[in-house]
Amino acid sequence: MVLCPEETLGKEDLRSLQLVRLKETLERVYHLVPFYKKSFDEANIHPENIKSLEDLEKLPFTKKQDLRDHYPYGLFAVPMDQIVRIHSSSGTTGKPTVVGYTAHDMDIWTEVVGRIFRMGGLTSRDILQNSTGYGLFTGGLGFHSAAERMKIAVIPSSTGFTSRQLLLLKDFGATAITGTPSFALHLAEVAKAEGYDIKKDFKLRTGFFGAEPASSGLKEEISRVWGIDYHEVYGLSEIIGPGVAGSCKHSDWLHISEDHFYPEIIDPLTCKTLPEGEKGELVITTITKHGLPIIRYRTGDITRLTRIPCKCGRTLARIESISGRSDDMLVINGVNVFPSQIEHVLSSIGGITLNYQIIAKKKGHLDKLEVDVELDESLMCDDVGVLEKLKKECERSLLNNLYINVAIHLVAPKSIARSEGKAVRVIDQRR
Amino acid sequence: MDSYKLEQLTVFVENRTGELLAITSILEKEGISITSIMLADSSEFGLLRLLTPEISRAKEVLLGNGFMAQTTQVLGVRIENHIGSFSRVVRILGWANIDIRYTYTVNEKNDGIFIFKVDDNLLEKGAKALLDGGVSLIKHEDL
Repeated sequence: MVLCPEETLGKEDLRSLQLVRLKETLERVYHLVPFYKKSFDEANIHPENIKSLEDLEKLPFTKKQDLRDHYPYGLFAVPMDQIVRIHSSSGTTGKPTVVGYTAHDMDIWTEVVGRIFRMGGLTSRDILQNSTGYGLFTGGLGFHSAAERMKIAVIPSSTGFTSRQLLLLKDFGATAITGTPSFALHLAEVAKAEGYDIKKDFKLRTGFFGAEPASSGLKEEISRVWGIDYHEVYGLSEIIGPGVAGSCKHSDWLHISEDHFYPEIIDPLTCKTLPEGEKGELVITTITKHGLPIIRYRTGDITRLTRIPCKCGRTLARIESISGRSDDMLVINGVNVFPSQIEHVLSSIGGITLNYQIIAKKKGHLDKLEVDVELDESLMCDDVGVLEKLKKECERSLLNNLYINVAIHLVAPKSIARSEGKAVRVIDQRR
Repeated sequence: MDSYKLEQLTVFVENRTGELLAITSILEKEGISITSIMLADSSEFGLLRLLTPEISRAKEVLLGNGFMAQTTQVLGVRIENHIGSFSRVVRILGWANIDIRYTYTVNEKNDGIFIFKVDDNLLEKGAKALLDGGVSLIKHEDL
């Protein structure tokens, strides 16, 4: 049972729908967003020249940096009186990236998330514990609006507070949950420690997880300990938030709502489009959004795409679980962090050098980020309190700017290992 | 009053196996003797405070080996071996509204030497209050 007829369109019908929507979007961005007019003109392409879906390759890419360069609303294609929601993620140069939704975009968003909830069999009789972060981050509210629209009872429990989450889960009788896979495992571990009988005390039967990479072993483990179906959700705020793609119960590949988000896979180095089935970077063009349409967005996520029919009957293309990044982005408990963002925050704090090393670790099932920072020799002092204050200041500033908890270790100058004179910036010990 | 200001060396120590040994080995190799040593630690790092007759050479060799080291000024008082003598010193500083940041001892045969760290701008005032109170302050060459 699918939510929308577009999910089962025949190949040709889908392609012609996509082409109509693409052409309409290109016309709109060309005339409404100066950035696109300029970049299309520079590439010597006019929207009229795009006559097939394959012609899309001729258009330039849009990158995260383009959103930052046009902070906050420069890439919006509608006047602000039509925007009903603004979300934002942390930025590299102190400026966040900003995304805006019209009422029409909110309808799309709730629809595409709704499709994935339907893949998990959710109906108005379900109770959803939405253990995904609320706020500027698109995760929590994205799931929330869609669930509400489907008349699912939502418990807006957000992230953290594990013991309270378990209490709610049991007493409120949630049948479904959202969150990061690592939080799901952490929750199970704490449940056991607190004496819950997982299969007996909870009514959970399905879960929707995303925002961080998960191996098939991890997914199976979550399925097993909770006794639930595992549905993976993929999304990114620049495209819409969660709901770009999701997995049904027949496969661990994710159906991408390509009637709204047209996918391409490119070689991240040559930037050439790759044939179906080959691994590369996912590039998405939104073909229905009004507030912030985005053309050929480089997601940075590495995956493959297939159009092999799925047993569930959906004809939408499927992407494989994200297997990596084409850049140095780290995913820490579902929050995206670039090393350059950490560097930027540290650079605004006196008393430390920019010789630092980021270490990503696993603590139990959760991610833990540590940053070793070399002290500035001029800050050497005889007072433990001053140094502790400096450490706290670094931690607080990273939390405020990047929304992540980081443990700072102050280390002596020149103590961080260098390779060929250059400090090794990131050590990921999670894999 | 300046002659009563003692120079102490403060060294940043990472909370890591072998870190303290690395420092003491360097001093040993250079033939620098340690009069007194005190390690103040937080959960993450420590500050090692050293008294040595060769303060500037000790600082130089530690800096040369990549350690962070800094000289700090402290006060030292000789205290007789009887109950209440330490209290007396603390009381004098308290009356003068001078907070003690930290203190440690230098062992001698009979008497004890206590080292006090007070805020830098209160060093003179502290030294004067102690002298006025009849406490015997020590000079660098007494160590």
